[in-house]
Amino acid sequence: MAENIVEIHGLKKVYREGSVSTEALRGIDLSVARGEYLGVVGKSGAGKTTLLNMIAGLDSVTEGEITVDGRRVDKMNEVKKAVWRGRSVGFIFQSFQLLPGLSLLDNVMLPMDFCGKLSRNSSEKAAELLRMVGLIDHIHKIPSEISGGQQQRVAIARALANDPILLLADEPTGRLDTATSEVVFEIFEKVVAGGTTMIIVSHDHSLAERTRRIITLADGRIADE
Amino acid sequence: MRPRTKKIFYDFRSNPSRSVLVILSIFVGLFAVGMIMTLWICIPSDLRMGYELSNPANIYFRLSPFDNSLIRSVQKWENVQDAMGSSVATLRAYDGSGKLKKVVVQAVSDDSWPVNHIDILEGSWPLKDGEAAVENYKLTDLDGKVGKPLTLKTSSGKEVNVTVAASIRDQSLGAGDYSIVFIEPIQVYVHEDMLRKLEMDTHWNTLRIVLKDGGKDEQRIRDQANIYADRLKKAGYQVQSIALRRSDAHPTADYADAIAGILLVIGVLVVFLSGSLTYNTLTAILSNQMRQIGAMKTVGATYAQIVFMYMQLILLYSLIALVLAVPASMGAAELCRDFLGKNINFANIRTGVVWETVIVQLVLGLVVPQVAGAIPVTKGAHVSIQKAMGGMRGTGSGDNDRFTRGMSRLFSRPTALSMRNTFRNKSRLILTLFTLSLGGAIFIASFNVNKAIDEHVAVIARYVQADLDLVTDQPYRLDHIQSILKDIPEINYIEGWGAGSATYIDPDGNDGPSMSILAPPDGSALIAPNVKEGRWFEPGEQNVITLSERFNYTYPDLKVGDKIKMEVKGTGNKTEWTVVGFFTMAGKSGGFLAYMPLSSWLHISGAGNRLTKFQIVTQNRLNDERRAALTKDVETVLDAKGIKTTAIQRNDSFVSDAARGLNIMSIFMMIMAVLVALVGCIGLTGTMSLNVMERTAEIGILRAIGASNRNVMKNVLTEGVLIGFMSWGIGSVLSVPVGFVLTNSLGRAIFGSRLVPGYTPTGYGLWLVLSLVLSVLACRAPAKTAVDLTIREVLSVE
Repeated sequence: MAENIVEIHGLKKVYREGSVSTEALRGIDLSVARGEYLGVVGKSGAGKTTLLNMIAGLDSVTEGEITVDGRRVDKMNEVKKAVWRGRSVGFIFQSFQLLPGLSLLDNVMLPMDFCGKLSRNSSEKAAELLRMVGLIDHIHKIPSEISGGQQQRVAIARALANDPILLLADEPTGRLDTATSEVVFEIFEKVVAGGTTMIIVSHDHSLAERTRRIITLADGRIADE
Repeated sequence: MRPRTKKIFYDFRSNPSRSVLVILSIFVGLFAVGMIMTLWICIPSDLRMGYELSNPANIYFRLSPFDNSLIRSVQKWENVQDAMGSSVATLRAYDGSGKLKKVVVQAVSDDSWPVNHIDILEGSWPLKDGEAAVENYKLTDLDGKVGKPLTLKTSSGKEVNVTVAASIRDQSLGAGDYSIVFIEPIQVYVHEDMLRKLEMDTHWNTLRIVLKDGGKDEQRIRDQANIYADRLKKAGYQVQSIALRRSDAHPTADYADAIAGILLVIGVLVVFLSGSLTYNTLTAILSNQMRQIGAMKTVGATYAQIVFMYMQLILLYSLIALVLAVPASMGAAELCRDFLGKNINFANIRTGVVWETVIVQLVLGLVVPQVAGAIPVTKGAHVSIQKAMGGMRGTGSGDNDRFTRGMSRLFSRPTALSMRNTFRNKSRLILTLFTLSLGGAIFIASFNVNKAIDEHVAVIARYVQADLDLVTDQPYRLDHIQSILKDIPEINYIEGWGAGSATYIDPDGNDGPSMSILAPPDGSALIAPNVKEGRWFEPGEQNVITLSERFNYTYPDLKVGDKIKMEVKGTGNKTEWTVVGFFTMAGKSGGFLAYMPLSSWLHISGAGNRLTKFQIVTQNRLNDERRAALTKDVETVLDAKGIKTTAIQRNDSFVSDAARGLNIMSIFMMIMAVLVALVGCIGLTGTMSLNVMERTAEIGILRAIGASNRNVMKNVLTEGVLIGFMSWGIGSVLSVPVGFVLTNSLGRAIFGSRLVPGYTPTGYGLWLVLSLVLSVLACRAPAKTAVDLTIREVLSVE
């Protein structure tokens, strides 16, 4: 088993649109230890979300290497990446991205379904996750029937559905008020305490400071650690 | 139920109007294909099978009188399967309004009608003395009804009352004289015992023979007919005419072929139309699902899983469309078959489910939407998560910005924006325009084909420009008839025409088909022929002849300049004629007809300068009532002078009879136009609605930056009108080749040559109105929904 769960070397990402090229990441070297709680901060356009997307395999690498739990993400094809991501990574978006027609319970069970982990106990497990995020009384509601903060808690439960080794959150409290953000971070701390590695991207230094380690990105490079 | 299955059902029911549009898109295609294919399969087979089941005669001999002993002998001849004698005569009958109409009365040697079986549609059979059956096709021309009395007028003027005991279908109408049901007179069938009362010959004068082993080989039928004709002549019978027909050649088969040809063209186009319609609709739906696809991929959904999910959704749409389309298309095809069966005289033989159609519908219903959906689905599933989460909503390329700037110089900024929206998604625009233009092209072409048909009906009318056609039982001099009728003030002038029949002599020297001959005087203003090859005869020419398109069809080697031989009935002489041209009239199944100069006719007919056919031209355009009264007046005046009238009929009724088949084609084309319009309108409505639904968020942004609801509506409607107008323009251009293909197919089937294409503004105008109105309506509803939402709601819409 690798010492570091995430190993990044010389990571570059260039977006090209027509004749215009934009360098989002200009050579990132980063290691994240197993069980670590990492905060990535920086201004808008610094490359935080791009870095997170690269780690999760949501976007392709232009140059460099990314290894997660001993597996080279940058070498995986799309099918392998999807299966690996579903089984190993939990991802939390700023805008929740719950499926509107499904109940909270079904939203949480969806990753299990895609990853072939659906079993008789799946609904109990999903309900347990929803209990953990304080939404056990709302499991049959659909996302539009609950508040934004509650939706983000469902997104967290969904991200944990397949017991990921790595939890990634992109501006998870960006759309939430302070009190709700506090609740979300309490959940994250509980998750990390359980041994899950977590990387949070935020432009809000004060929230990121609740993590155990912070890196600052600026112009696609790690500016401070 | 698995969460992903729940999502499929949620997607299905979450936006009912969108789901209805997809289902309708698939439904209309399947419905049209189902209806078209059922007709395409059933009509030719109904005609062929129905006709074959009637045990149709292969050889018709018109003979000097004979009795049952000849029939019994013929039944024993080699290769004869059945033989039947009948007595046929042309009489007249009063219709409901007291007008006399020409009827063909026949009685047969065997009540069971072993040859040319008839179908009893209503009433009782066999007939008894004092009863008659009327062929259903023209029963209404007599205002007849089963149970009602009918008065027949014999050639001597005696009136005989009978009761209409049955209405029947006789599919062989026209078979015995190379004619078609449309131009055949009203057919009345009586019991043998009625012949004497009707002053008809009590002997038989027509012999119908069915050959063994099917009788589908034309050459064999011809050879047998020659053998039998020789045998009959040797036995002392006079063979007046011979008509031959294959057992599978229904007299109106050409019309069925024309219908089948049109169905095939429209069917193929409709499959494309429906496919592109489905593709368009599904692309629009998929582009609205991008964020969800991104979210699913993030939580581990593979490309295959996503594709499979959306394919299942498409399958659900398809199944519902199939469940609706299969019975609906069956019902519509049944109605159409009933209509065509009644109007081109065939029986619906195939009953129940047409499984070939259902299988094709199942295959098309399950495969076409999947294929059409596969492109947007796989494209959607392939999109990177990052791009998917961005919603795939383009922000506008430099080209578009330049386009908007350019348009802004010509139009107001909002109008320029509408135009930019129209051209923003070029592939969508091309598909939308393709679908709508194709629908429009078929719609417009249907009207143009109709116009071509109308123009051809006008061509037929130019052959008979006199008002009344008078036929006397004996030949008379023209000046004699003129002097008798001179006191009728409405009569302007009278022309005497030669008319008779002849036997065409086949190139091998055997008797060929019976042909009708008409001979107008030199310089007659009452005929304006439509020459398709060669020329019409010139005044003063002798021994020249022009032939109808039927000759072209039956004798393809016959060319302009060739010599033909014929024997004019009653002369006993075979004479030679030079073919100077071929003309087009009622179609290649319209009988063997020839025109020659009157002087030639007078020379060969042996009647001196006496004629039996007189063309009467009235002073002014008379109204219907007066024209009917004039018919009676002419007959009364002639009768008073001892001149018996065989027939006196209005030429417009001949034109309407000759055009009957073509008019049915017109109605059929209109049914097809409505069908295509249905597909096109749903396509137009669906595509435009989805285009607007997709831009709900953009509408929210426009409102957020100060656009009024009125501005938004104007913007959306301008876009709708622009697309509607563009599709109309392209459809109008495309309608030319589509119309050409349809007209060509129709012309070749019915006339054996190309029909002159027609153009009418009706189709163009109607489609323009439909395109614009539907575009506006289709855009208005979703745009109204969008402006009725609060800006916050709009901007949060997926």
